[in-house]
Order: sequence, then C-alpha cells, then structure tokens
Amino acid sequence: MILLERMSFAYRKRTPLFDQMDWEVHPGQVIGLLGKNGAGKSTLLRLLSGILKPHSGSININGYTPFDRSPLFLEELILLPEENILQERTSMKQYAKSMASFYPGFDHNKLDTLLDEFSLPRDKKLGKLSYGQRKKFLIAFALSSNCKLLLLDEPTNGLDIPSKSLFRKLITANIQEDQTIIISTHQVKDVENLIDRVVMVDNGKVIFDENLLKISDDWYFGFGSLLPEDQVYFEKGMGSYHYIKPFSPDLNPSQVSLELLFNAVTSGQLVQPKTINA
Amino acid sequence: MKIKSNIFSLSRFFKLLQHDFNNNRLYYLAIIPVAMLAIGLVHWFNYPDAGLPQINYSYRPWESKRYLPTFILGYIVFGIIIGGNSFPGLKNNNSTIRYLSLPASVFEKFLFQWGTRILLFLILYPLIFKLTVNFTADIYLDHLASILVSEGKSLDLLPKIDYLIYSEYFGKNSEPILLLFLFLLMGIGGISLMFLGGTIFRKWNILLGPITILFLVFVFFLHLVILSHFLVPESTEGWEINFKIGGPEIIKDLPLPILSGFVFLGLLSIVSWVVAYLRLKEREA
Repeated sequence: MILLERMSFAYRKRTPLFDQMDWEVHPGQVIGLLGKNGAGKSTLLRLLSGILKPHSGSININGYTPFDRSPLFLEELILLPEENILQERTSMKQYAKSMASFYPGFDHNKLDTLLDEFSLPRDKKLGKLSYGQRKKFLIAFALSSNCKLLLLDEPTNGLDIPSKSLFRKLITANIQEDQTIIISTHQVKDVENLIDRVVMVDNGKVIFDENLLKISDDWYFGFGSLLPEDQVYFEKGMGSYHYIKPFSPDLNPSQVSLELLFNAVTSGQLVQPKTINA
Repeated sequence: MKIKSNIFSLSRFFKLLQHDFNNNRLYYLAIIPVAMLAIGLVHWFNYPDAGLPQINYSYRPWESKRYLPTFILGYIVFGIIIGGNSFPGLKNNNSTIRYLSLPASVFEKFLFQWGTRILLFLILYPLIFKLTVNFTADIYLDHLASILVSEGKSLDLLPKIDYLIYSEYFGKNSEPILLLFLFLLMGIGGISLMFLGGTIFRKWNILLGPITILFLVFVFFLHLVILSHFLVPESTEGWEINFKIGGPEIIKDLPLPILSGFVFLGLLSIVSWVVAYLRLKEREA
C-alpha cells in the first residue's frame, strides 16, 4: 500500500511542486497518472521510488520509507524513467544477467517471451537499439521482474502504434493480483482500456482521483450533432460534439474517454465532488 | 525462515560485485595490464644503459631505493585514475537513477566502492609495482646480456640492478620509519579525498579531484610559510619555511609535529570516508 501524508517537495530555488499532498493507493491497481508537461508526474514517481526525498511529510510504501532505499524495498520496485538509463555497451542478455539476480521474483522465461513478443534482438548492444526498442526492453524487464510496484514514466513515448497496443496487451496479460502499476503519461489515449484508476496531477496537486468504474457510473461520455443541455464539458469536432454529462438511469453506460475527461478536469470544468488534496 | 538484512547481505554484495564487473569489465580487465606495461616501460627506459646498442659502462648502480620516485609517481597517477573513478554510478543523472534504484543497501554500495577503490588499490599497487619492476629488471638484464654475448663481451659488464625490496626502505632509526608512515598516511589521505570527490565532482572528479587536493596542499604550505614568518622572521624570506620540525616527544622517538601529522592525516581519511557514505546516502537524482 502506498500512503502519502502531507508530503511536500520542491526543487532547489523553485516554488514548491507538491504541497501537503495526501494520497493512498491500495495494491493490485493499474493507475494512470495523468498531467500536463511539468505537472510533477515524473517527480512523484521519483519520490515514490526513493530517488528524491520529500521536504516534509511522509511517504510509506508497504511499510518502507522509500528514501531509506532499503534493498528489501528496492527489490520489489522497478522504476522505468523517461530518460535512457541503459548502458550503451551492454547487450540485453548481459543486462538481464547482471540485473535479474537482484529481483527475487524475476522470471527469465517471461522475459524471453516478452522479448519475442516485442521482436527484440537479444544480442544487440543496448546502445545500438532505437529509443523505442530500449523502452520495449525495459518494459519487458519490468514485467518479468514480478515486482510488487512498477513505476512507468511515459512508457509509450517512442513506441510506434502497433507497439503501443502491444504494450497495453502485455501489461494486461502479465499483471498479477498483488502488483501495483503506476503509469505516468501525458498521452492519455495510450493508457485507455488499460488502467483501472485515473489520477490527475496539476501544479503539484492531485486534482482528480477516481476509479474508472466509478467514473462511468457518474458520467456519460457522448457524441452527437446536438449538445445536451446538462453537459458539463464539450469539444467540437467535425460537425459534431464530444461531451460529458452526468450519468442518468435512462442512459447506457459509455466508454470513458480519458482525453475528454483529462481536458475537462484540467480546464476546471469538471470538478471531482470530493477533492483529494484540497 | 531466512531473514534478509537491510544493511548487509553477503549474497547481495556478491551480486553487486558481479553487476559491477559486468558493467565495467573492460576497465577491470585493462587496468592491471596497462598499469604493469606503463610501470615496466618507465623503468626500462630508466634502468642504467638504456641507450642501447652503445652500452655506456659508466653507470650508477640501480639500488632498491631508486624505485621510490617512480613508485610515488605511479601511486599519484594510478591513484587519480582509480580514485577518480570512484562511484561511477553517480557520473551523470541517468546513471545515478540506475545506481540509486539498484536493490543493494547504501552500506553495500559504499563498501564495494571503498573496497575496490581504496583497500584493493592500497594492497595491489605495491604488489603490482614490485612484481613489474623486478620482472622488468630480469627481462632488461637478459636483453643486455644477449647484446653483450652477441658482441663477444664478458657478462661481468652487466649493470647492477637491484630488485625492489620494501624492507630496505625501513632504516634502523625510528625517524625514517615515522616519516615513511607519514608518507603512507599522505597517500591514503590523497586517495581518500579522490574517493570523496567521486560523490561531489561526479564525472569531473578525475580533473577536479587532483586540483582540489593541490589546492589543499597549497593552503597547507601557505600555512607553514606564514608560521615560518611568525616564528623565525629574521631567517624567513618570501616562500621559505625555516622553522625546524622537532619539538617535544609525546611517546619515545615520536615528536609532536609528526604525531599531529598522523592524527590529521588519519582523521582526514576517516572523515573523507564518512562524508562519502553520507553523501551517497543523501544523494538524489
């Protein structure tokens, strides 16, 4: 379980990025951490992984304080940062050989399968791989680690369209019941049909945090040439409207459009009744 | 049930060793042969009558003590290379993220670096130096002997080149031993500062580390010059240091200035290690 209590953080000589943030995550969820560029998504992942230290308040993950960087905590966590952290001169095989032993639940067969699924050449030096291929390799490694917590920062950046859908498929197929995956992205469409909880951050605050099922229970995501009167947010398309309105029993449940929801929330037109971090 | 330690586990330490070797294989495999080659070549061209094929017989025998300057030079050069590469995982932001999130404790990561950059260096350098110079001396003499034989000259003309024997550096008086220990502590202090520099200057340590040490040495020298101007103003001019290092003996044959040097250098090393540990512990990326 992840528990943030009154957590504050600021980079040196900058205004506070997180101010007294409270947040709770129960195990076994795939969370989409959405936000604009610079909203603090990557920083939050670094705070959760113990790479950064909160200035005040606390972060507790399964009984560990991340910044203590206990090996017992780290062996159950994989952080896949946006930057390339792979060593250029190492091959996938060598990387897996030297890193896998640190993760007690690592499954080499799963890695083999995933590398095949992503069509990655095992003997090629990591420096010779494209950005997208490196991302795929790290995703495969993260999934094979069977760690309890996977923190994926912009994992779909650099992936081509087939790889993005393969990514969604592989995450869904390989996630375990006790695993928590937090996927940070500003490409909200990439995590549609994958996540079961949406968290939006802006200016260092959680401005929206809800389960997808609850969202589809509360809101209707529609499309039509006419705008309903009770819509709370709309976007004009080619002669038609995409809109969000409160769900009512006479409607069939709709597919949640994360992009529409994201735009509605970040523009302040859809406000969650219970603000998580007011 | 086996309980894993948060601070130190031998199996994790071994994994760290494997991981480091896998990532820096080339560096580890190359450093010793390159060091041996460099030491060997320097001596080959410095042993008597290196200007072959005209052998100059008016040579000065090469005694064991003549290895000292190259020993110190080699210590400084390889100390900078090895100490300067301490904490390679902290070289840049990306490698720092990878290093900090590696499932090993801060103590294990520190101990590994300390062991390979300081302890192993302090043990291996004298051994490798000795092995190399003595082996080079043998090959060199064999080479000269073959020239003498080919020129039909007596092997008695071979120059005298002594093996390096460390015990010869320890005189019978206690003072040279004390000074030698002082030098030894200086060496440990130097490599410890380079080690600490790895957590501060990151990839620039190999350059900024030695500059910082030179600056500290300069500050110390300046301090002595100023002291000399105060203590013996009549005989001190400019950058001279003219006061004698003697003074009261705290323990038999151990003058106070040398004892304070021991304490200062010992503390310098220990403080460098502790600060390096704390900097690693508090490192962010």
